[in-house]
Amino acid sequence: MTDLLLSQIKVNDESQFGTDDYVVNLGPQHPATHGVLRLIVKLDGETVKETIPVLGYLHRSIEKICENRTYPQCITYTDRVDYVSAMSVNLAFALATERLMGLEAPPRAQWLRMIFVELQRLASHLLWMGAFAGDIGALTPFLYGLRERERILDLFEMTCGQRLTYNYIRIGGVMIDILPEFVPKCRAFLDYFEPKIAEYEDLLTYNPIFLERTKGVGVITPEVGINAGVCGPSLRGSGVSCDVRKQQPYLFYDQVKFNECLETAGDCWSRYKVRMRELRESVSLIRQCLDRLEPGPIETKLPPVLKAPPASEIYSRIESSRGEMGIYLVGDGTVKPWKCKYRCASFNNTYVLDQLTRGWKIADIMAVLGSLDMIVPEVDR
Amino acid sequence: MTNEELKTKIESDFKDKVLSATISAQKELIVVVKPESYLFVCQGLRDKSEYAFQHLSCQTAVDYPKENKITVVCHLWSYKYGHQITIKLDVDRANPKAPTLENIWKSANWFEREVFDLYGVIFEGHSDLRRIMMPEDYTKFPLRKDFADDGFIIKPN
Repeated sequence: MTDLLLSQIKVNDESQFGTDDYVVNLGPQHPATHGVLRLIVKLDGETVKETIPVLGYLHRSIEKICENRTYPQCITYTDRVDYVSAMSVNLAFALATERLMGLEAPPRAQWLRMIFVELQRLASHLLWMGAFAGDIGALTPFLYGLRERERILDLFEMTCGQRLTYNYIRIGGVMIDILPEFVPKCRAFLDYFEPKIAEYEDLLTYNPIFLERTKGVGVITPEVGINAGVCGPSLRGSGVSCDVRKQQPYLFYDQVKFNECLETAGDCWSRYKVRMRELRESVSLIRQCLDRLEPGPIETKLPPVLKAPPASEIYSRIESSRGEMGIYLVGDGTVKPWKCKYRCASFNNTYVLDQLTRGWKIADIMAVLGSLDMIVPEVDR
Repeated sequence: MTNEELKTKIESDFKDKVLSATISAQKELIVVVKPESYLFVCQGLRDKSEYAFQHLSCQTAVDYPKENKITVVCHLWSYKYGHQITIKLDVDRANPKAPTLENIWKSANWFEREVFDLYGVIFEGHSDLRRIMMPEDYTKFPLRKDFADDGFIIKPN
């Protein structure tokens, strides 16, 4: 049977390139590919004819591993799905499991989750801003972005002892309550951080070189974007309202006020502006959550052995830093998930790269790839 | 439209094309379609303005060796109305073949490559059915339940 199936596999042979094509291999080890992504680029002079992403260099079979672990054990692996935004994936998995088993976290835990996920969004967007600017030649914003990100990571470290893979949001609540000094420190950080956004914008937004590299480059039209499954800030740059926090509110996102950031042009510059505006929205969201935080339990009492109901399934979505993050869980009445699928925003956002770069220069690949905010561990899982 | 209304509407619109439409305990609408009408139902769900499922949120498969089937699962989302629906198609495990959704939703291209890579389901009419995660010369389908490999040892617990 395997032989029959194997005969269907098309091997990626050289014959697909004509004699006139100039083929450049970008990656898998390349500073601008944000990890180990390989791009085969067919060129005509300097103009891109086709971009073929080759995935799998960071495939760690997380989905298969999760099928052989209990639900609480899986949380540790979710950190590694997207290590730049680990809190979001923690939350996605915890929420999916809770919905599958009919549990609910207490209010304090939910507010804490919102605070940490929004802080994570700030940290992720800051790293993205630095990396994106670095991709197109402006190396300074990276230092600015990491300077503030460091203070966010300090807040995380203070709470859960980790700076990258937190394992903080657990099924039924959070790992540990915040320290008494967390709230004043977090407020102090927000007061310090808010004026800094204007500083980043002074550096980049209307910088003529930056505009030249990003404005009008790699336009995603709403129709193409929706059809190709683009999501998150990358699609909001095209003016499509697609924020899961608004469309399918989870936690207490229906009780706080925030705007969905939309731009209409759909080019790299719009995607950049959406993320910069989201920084401000996240700051206001964290402030509201801190105001509403009340003492109370941080974890629901879980049964000693967590089992999913037999023949149950759930597809649960959240808005991670990169866009729609979906978890599909199938329960079979045991302690392990029968199926665990991570639907990651970067996977679909990388798919659209070929369409966006055709006809542009090879240097624009970096601008487009950077603006899509893709993270390779999330693509490969 | 609530899930109940959506369910009755789908049952009447696609009367003899749908095997079952149920609302799960987790309040999700799950529709199992007949293999020959899979494409028709998906096309209808995307194009009819009262459904407007423009977004293929996720496509994957689940292996059921006991029932000798692999189920291809699609999760659709409508930006216009905020509906979610799950479409399921059962294929034979020994000879898994399914029509491709690539011509309806472009995003199915990579989703289907992934399902082919990890489950060995062949999507007929797919433009570029190659392995996506595993090496090109790999001979197994890792997410199948009977998968065994020297490099992947499952500890009993």
